[in-house]
Amino acid sequence: MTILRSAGHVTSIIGGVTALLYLWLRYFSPNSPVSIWVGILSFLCLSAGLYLLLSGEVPRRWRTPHRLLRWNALLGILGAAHAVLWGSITLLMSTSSIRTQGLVTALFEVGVVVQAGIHLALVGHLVSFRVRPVKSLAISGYFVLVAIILIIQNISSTIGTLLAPLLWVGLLPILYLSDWLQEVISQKLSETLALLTITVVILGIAWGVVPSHFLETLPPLFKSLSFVLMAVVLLHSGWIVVLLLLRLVSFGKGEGQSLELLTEFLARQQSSTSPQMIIDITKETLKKLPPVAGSLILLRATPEETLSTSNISNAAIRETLRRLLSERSGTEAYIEFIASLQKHHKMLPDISVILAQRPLFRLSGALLNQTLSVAVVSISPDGFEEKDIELIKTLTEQTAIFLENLDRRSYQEQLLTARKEIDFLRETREALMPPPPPILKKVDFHVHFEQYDRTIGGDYYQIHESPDGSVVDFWLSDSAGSGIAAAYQMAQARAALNTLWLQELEAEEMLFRLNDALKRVFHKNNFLAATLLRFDLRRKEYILFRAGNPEIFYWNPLVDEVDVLRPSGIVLGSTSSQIIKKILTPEKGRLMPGSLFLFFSDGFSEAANLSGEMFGVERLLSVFKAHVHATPSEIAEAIVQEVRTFVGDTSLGDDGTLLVVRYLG
Amino acid sequence: MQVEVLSGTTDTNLQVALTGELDALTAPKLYENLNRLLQEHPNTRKIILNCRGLTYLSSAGAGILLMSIDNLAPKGISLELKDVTPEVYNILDLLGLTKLMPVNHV
Repeated sequence: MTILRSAGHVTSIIGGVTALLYLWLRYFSPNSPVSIWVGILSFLCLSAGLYLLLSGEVPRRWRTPHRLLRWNALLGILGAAHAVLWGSITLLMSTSSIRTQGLVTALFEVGVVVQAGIHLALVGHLVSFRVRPVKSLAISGYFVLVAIILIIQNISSTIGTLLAPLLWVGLLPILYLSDWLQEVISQKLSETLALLTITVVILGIAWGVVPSHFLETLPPLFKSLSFVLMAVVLLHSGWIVVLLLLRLVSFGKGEGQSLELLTEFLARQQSSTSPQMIIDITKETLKKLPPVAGSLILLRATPEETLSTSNISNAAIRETLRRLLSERSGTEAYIEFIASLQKHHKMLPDISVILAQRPLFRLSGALLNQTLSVAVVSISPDGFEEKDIELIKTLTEQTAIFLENLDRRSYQEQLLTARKEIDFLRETREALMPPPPPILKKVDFHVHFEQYDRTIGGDYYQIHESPDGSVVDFWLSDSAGSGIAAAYQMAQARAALNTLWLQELEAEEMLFRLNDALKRVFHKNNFLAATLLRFDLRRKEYILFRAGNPEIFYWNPLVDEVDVLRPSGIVLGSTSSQIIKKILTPEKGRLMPGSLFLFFSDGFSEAANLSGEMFGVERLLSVFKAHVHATPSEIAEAIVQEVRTFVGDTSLGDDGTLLVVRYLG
Repeated sequence: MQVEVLSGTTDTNLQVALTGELDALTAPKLYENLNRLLQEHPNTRKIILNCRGLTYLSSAGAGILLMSIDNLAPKGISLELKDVTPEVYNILDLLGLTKLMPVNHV
């Protein structure tokens, strides 16, 4: 770009200086044969210089066909005005000296030279829309042809005149390479046709009608340039014809291609199932754009191996782009066009880059970042048109939307899976509920069972009456842990327990056998905490075993006192029955009418409030003491109420079971 | 939870300090560490776990202690808990573990 800019400046200055020299010569030496060469040199230098200056100073995305055409038409109008002005002055000065007349006509010529030079520069840029080497070659070749014919014409006007049609024939490849016509055909076609028509008409007036009307004889430089000027008019006319033909043949082809690309992109993205897939499709789509040489797409904070994609071979470019992208905030939609990477590192090649970023709004943890970053590269320093930037912007935006949709879908699926798991847990819990309790004549009891968070805890209770009704067992157990594992342990314990009940064993023996059974099926680090209270209604005795469960409250109606029963015991399922036998000690006593027992699982005693304080055994005991004369259901209700008031808005934090049993006698 | 060998360790007595919480997440780590330490101290006859820094014991943690007792006993190695905090002691006592091994509380 720097070379182009420098060359453009130098050549334009030479063109300007030679134009002034031409004026000087026409005034002081009107008949000098040198002046025509100076004029031709001025024209050639101005054309080439302005073309290079436009390349170096004006970014490609500002040199859109529409802008160039507008400038072209405006220039034509100014040129016509200029021609009329100086033609009129020439008429008025017809009686002046030869020198003055020569200067006035020279001013008209220089105006035409400048105008034609700018027209050629603009035309060159119209043709080089979507830069390709073949186009650069065609433009350069045509310029050389113009130069050669102008030179030959001034050496031998006959040969020059014979060769002049070559300038018109040479327009054919240029017309062929004018693919900008396809881009504009469905977009502002009428405006384009109008601008081209205005340009042709105005140029015809400025370079045809005005000189022949105002000037007696055509000035030498204008005469020399007439073939070139004619070529400029013919090219514009040719564009009008080609545009009309294209309009007839394929309406909206250029726009259709973009639309087709976008439609295909959207259709493919619909079926994307992973962020990687979405990014791959975007990468492939970007590659189909004419100027795109490579792309770098990454999701910030995601492992590069999985989600970054690139077909840019130069590691230095890739690293620079990655650095540039990582420097952006990513908190809001962002796009930047970089005309050259050399400003970031002088060793980097002169290329065009579009950086685009779009924040991603996460719903779930499916995406590990919050930004989609895209860098699109063209190997040409002027590779991207305004339309390309818009399209890349759209593709980035759509890619971000697809990533978000995928995240949303994933989130919905997670919700669905979570619901299924909850349903499964609920069904499992229902399947593990104890059988309906028996109706007992001599015993009143109430069970309050509270599930934690609708999942499966480890609590299990059951009331069992022997077939002859002489023995009633009250069972409360708590499996270690929670969830499915605890549920399985509970199921195993439940099955073993109900099998043992059929054998009508002594309570102690039943627990030993249960321990043996559980030790066989439990993992070594699992266990079951349990409480068994057995009423022997025939003997009017009770026997209590506590295997790792909390203490039991017992109200003795004879003395109206509450005892906290803590018989020695150990959890079941983890230790051999020989050891259990040494530790497990029964608590025995007489059953008296009104005898009241309270079992509770640690869900109640360890229920904590928001400050982390536990309800505790002491508070339970005081509530129990205050309600010993109430019915079991009233006692349970009072305890639950007190615990709820204590914990406030929080849940128990675990399964909670209360079992209140009163012997009626 | 951190497991650290104490300076009082002898050829037959392995003294280990437990710090932090012994729950479902950390319990396997304790078991692995004990196994590793026993490989490093093959003549160990008694493992003394200093529980002064042990702030919480869950049922899974108690399960690991039970499993350790069960696995160590056939090898002639006993397990002992020392300087147990009252909170942890209450849990051990409730579950009956204080009857399976010596537990000394603070």
